[in-house]
Amino acid sequence: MNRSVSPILDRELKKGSAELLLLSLLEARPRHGYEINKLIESESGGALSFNVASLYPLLYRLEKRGWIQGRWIDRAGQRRRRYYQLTAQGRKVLRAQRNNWKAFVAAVSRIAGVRYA
Amino acid sequence: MHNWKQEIRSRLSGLDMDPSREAAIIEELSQYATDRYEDLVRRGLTILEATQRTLAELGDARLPVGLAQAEEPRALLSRRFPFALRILGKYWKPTTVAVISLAVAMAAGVAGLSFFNALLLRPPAAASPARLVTLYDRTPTGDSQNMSLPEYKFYRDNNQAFSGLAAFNYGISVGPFNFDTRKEMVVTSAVSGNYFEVLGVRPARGRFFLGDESVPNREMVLSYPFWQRLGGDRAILGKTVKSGKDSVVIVGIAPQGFQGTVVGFSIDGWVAIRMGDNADRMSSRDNRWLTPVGRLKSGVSREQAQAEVSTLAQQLAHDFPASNKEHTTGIRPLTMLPMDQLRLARMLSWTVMGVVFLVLLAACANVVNLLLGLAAARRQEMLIRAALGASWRTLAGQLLGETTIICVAGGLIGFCFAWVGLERLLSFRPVLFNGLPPLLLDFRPDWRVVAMTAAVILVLTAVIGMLPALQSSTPNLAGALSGEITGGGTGKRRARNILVIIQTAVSTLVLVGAGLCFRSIEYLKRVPLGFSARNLVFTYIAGPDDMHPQSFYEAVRREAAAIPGVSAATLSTSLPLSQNGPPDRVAPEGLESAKDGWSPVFYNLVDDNYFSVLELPLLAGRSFDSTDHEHSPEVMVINRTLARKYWPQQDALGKRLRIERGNRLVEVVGIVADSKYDDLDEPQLPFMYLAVRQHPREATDLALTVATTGQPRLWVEPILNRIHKMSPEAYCFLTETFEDQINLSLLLPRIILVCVTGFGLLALVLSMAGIYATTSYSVGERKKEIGIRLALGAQPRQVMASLLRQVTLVTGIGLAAGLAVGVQMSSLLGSLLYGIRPVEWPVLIAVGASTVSIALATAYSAARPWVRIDPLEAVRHM
Repeated sequence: MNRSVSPILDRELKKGSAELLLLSLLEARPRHGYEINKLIESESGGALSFNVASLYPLLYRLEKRGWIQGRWIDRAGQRRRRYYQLTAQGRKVLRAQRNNWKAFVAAVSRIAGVRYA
Repeated sequence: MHNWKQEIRSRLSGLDMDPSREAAIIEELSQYATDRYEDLVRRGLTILEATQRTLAELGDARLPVGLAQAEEPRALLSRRFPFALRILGKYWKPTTVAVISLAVAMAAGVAGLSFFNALLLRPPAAASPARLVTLYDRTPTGDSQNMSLPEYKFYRDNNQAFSGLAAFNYGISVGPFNFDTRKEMVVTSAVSGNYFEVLGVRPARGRFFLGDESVPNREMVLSYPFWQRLGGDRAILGKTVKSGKDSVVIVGIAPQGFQGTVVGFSIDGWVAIRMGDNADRMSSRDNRWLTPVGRLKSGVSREQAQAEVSTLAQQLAHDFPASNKEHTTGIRPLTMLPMDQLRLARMLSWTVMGVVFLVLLAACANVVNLLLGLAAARRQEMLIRAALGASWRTLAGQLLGETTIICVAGGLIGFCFAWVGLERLLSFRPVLFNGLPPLLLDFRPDWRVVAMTAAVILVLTAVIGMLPALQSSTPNLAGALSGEITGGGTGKRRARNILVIIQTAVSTLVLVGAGLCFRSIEYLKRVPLGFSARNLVFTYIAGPDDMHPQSFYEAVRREAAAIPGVSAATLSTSLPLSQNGPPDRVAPEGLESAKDGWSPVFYNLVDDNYFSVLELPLLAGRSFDSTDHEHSPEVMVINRTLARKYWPQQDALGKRLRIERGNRLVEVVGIVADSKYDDLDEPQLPFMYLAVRQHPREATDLALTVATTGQPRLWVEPILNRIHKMSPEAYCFLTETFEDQINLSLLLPRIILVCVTGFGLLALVLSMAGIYATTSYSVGERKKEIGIRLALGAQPRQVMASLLRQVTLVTGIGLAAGLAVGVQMSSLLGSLLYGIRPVEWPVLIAVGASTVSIALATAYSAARPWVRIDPLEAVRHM
């Protein structure tokens, strides 16, 4: 994470984008909580990471809204884990949020004068 | 590897989730933690580092806060009552202690309230009792509830303030009545003919007396329970029953629940006041024996009625100066106790209420202690709720819910205890004197007690509930989020210590009270009586109507003295330790006009050998003899105090005293030693003796005192038999030995001692429960510290010593406070408790030593399990 980003802005960014991140990661296939967190950390190059206290409440909230669905799965040679997969409604929400995000980033970029390389 | 499941469970313990949902979340999160830990170990961290890092990432209060937010907080908070029950169930041990403490204290409280209610508050079972008042006689020497029959009639016929004025006698009569073939001892109360009408009572069967003047004198109304005892037959109405020479017609049955206007005895029947009464009572203006009871007309206030009777009293004083000079009349609400007993009953009731209040305070401290403990254990939960936006009011409401459960449960259980106890007391009917009906101790709670109990519970709930609520509802969220979740903190420890200080002070105070009562009784037992009570037995005798009193009593004395084993017999109107009748106002001859010449002096009409039978030393002059008779000049024997009072430097013999009643000049012929006249703890009173032979008109009911050569109780039967043989009409009552009489004088202090000691021990047990709880809480909180100290090589003995030092300090402060108030109390009670000095060292030392040693023993047993804990076990959770 860029050191010049203040902790408050960091928190706000995470809050706004957390749902989008989670839904995006579940788009390809069902994953369990630890896997999700590890992916966020590795994909963002260590810039983003959730702790348990934020990740699970968020997962539960998304599940309650019907966007994702959790299921206990026993796999041979592995511990029993709870896997989350995107529901049809979740897919729609993801599409909408992705568009919103793109529009938001583009708007911020125009104003801030950031040019893609 | 760390037990992650347990770790997560402990972090979520404050949340009130559906158990299956909670289990699922715990499993999922523990899987996460396990994955994380294994991952970290794979990356090369040591086991300890990986564990610590995982623990840190599991984080703080944000986890349960987040989960609670996701799990719909509203659903959590709405289930307040079942939740409160579940929380209390979880902490069932301290909850039980708190409920039982409160129940015991509330039982004491309800008993105290019932006692208070029965003696001072409960009105007679009459219609709108608040409008009923009694008239009483006021003189410079004191107030009396009694008036003479002519006075009563005067007020009855000349007032405008009352819709009716009746009269009754607070005294009761006991006599045999023949109901067909059955002979029953019947307790009767003499009342005026309009008594029931004024009280607004309706007969259950038949009718009451037909007005005040038209009573044919020979009618009786039975009480409902007595009628039931006789078989409950309606045919009894109109029947004539005989009592001695008199016969009465039963005209009606009083309603169920009507006990009359005298507390303490169950009245079997009411008779019109003229039946069986002597002429003196009917006509004399000096013979005051009736209590007028009036019903205020609607719209007339007590003050207006008072103004009217004051005017009427002035008129009486003007018309009859001989009997009514300096007499005025007062008005007060009707009570079931006569005025002279009312003061005692008030003192007793307020003492009981005061002690009960202290015990309740000690019990409440235990409840607060429990709630503080619960609050500490649930601080995390409270913080989460506060973080979720639960308002101060919601959180206080939550705590109040738990407090309400504890207080209501304790109150209800206590009320039931008291109810059962007081029901049982009803069947305990002590006989104070042979010949008197047994006492009726009806202290059963009624709606007033229920209402007062409910009010007490309400106040307790509000006060107790608010204390921990105030403390817990100012959440330090920042502190909680930074991980400072567990632990009670010094604030709570201080609060608990204050509670223990209060409890110790309270129990010390009550125990000091018990000690003072005990000392006082010991002092009373050693009071010099002035006479010899050994081997004396006495009985009061109401002579038959058909014999001349003087000759009858002469015969009684002769016959009694002739019984084998009786060494002497004597007669008197009063007996030591039970003075009958009011004092006479007297002044030494020549000082009648001096302002301080007159003073009230009690007197006793006695026989010639009275002083020798009671072994009262004659200090100068002579006793009465056969030369003192109705037609010889009146003489008196006085006690030393009276002689010193009026003739300090002179010989009192031959001097004369003027007695206001009848304006007589009486010569002093003898001086006897001082003794006790009415009570063991009375100050030394001036006293005079007159010859019974010179006052035959006053000698209607005399006491016969018999000196025996052995255990006096053995002579009771022979004496009563002999008198019965002489005249079956004569009635003996209050037959006792003098030793029993002295014990009876000690009865009230002994009852108070038993009550106060009982309450004192109760307060002690409650405060020890408090010390036990506080010690185990505070040691429990400090188990890590204790574990470290033990691991670092401290001896359990040293750790224990430091714990006990703290308990000693806290107990010591409470003890000092209790003793300080106790010393203040001793000087206040000095006037009530005989012989008590301001600082009763033996009492203070005994109470102090026992309180400290019991407190230390309690603290030791509470701390022992913690001090013996394995140090490794104690530090494991660090």
